[in-house]
Amino acid sequence: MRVGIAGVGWFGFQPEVVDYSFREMMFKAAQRAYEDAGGLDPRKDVDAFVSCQEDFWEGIAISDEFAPDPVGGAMKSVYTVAGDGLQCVGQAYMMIKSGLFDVVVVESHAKPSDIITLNDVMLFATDPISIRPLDIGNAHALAALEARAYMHKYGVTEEHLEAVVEKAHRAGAKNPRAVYASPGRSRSSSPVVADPLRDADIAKFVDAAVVVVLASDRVIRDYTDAPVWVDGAWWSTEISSLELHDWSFPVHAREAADGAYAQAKITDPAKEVGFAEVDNRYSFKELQHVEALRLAPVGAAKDLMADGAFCPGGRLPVNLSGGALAEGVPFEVHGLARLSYAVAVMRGDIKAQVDRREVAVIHSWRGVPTTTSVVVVLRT
Amino acid sequence: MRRVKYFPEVMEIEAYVYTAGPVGTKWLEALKAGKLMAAYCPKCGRLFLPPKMYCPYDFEEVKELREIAPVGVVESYTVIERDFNGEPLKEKRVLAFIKFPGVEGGLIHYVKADKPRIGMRVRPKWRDERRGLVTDIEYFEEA
Repeated sequence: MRVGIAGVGWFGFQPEVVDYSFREMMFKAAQRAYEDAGGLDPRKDVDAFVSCQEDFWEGIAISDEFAPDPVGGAMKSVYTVAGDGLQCVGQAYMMIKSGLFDVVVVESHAKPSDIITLNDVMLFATDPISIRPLDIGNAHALAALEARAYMHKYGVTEEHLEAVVEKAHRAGAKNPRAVYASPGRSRSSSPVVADPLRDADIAKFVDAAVVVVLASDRVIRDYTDAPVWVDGAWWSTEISSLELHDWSFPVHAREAADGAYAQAKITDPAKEVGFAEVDNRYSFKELQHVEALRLAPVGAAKDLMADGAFCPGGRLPVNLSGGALAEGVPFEVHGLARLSYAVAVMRGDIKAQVDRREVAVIHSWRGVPTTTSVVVVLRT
Repeated sequence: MRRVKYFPEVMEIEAYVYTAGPVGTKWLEALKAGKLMAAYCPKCGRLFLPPKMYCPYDFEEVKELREIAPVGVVESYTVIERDFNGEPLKEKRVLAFIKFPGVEGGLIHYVKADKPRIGMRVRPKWRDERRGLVTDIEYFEEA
């Protein structure tokens, strides 16, 4: 049994989607995904729906109840996961592999522009006993602690971060939905926020919804002639106490990658993977995640980045989309944003500068203060 | 127009009282007494911070806290210059992750230092009036 992607749809990717509520954004993304999946009818053709969301992001308690109808799932099997959209892909993968489901729709949506006190909401995710009373004025400071620990341990300099930022904006300039892409943006002239992080190192937030249709190999040709196969999906949470996690390396991303590679029977990722879409919501995270995904030896991503290995047209392009630095961070949609871009590249819908598009690895992290990563392996 | 397009709401998120748990309560009582303690796992013998009732390494039940020397080492730090919205802070603040010798984990807290550095030895500056919160330590300063 193989699981494939039959259709993808997205909506928004704007700093503020003014006219539509999150439910209407879900509806628009779903319409597009179903059209992409050969005009699939969600009321007839779909066995189950999985929605990835978080109550506090929505400002709605028990927001699970809001999931079904905007994607055509009222009175059908709907599952909600408090996690990144790629975790929903993992759920759909398992459901289809079980043989009990043939078509599963995955959805995630985000409207950060609705939240007036976003820093407070982010800090609400920290430990209420050991961290919350500190009243940290900027949640990005927690990422800055990780940045310094990583940079100090592996000799990463601000020039290396500059290379990540420059690449993201240059690549993003070719991605129509990368609203924050600004080629030529100078990192060094952007203000220090929480050193070593400058404003240019930190991705902005964006409103977006993405819907993905997954299907078993038994039925997928009913919906698409160009399936992209999900050959691995794994996730890992390191620990709930930030103080006990590894500050210098994302162990969770390494664990998730190793699980997904094992499923996909990939033994030498740096050679077998053609391109990657990884979390870069902070510039240093791209280097860390490239290493965690075994696309570069630990501590070596900075040098390979400087040599252009991960640039568009390079040996192993990373974030041809520009990643979150160019597209923005749409909360739990982020993983599906990375995945939907990769699917379009693999199908040839997007003419990206990449030689090998048969195998792609997709990664998402849930941002500070989480220690959760998801990795998915795609094949054409 | 905006009034009919949007519905403004304030979430009552200040109305929570979090339970520290049996081990967490002992830890907060120790802070109130001006002592720094760490959880002790009877199975693996590790000390760890922040304390919880369960050992994160082997799932053993933790019942005991042990006092630790209040001298830590800065493992990482950041100087926060701007708030989340990008506005400059009136006063820069140094936030650090502090480890204690022989203890797994550590504490995230403020450090008062003009030139913080990784490896810097720091000790807590206790408040005179303590309430049983992590902020009973006002900040850490160079030891």
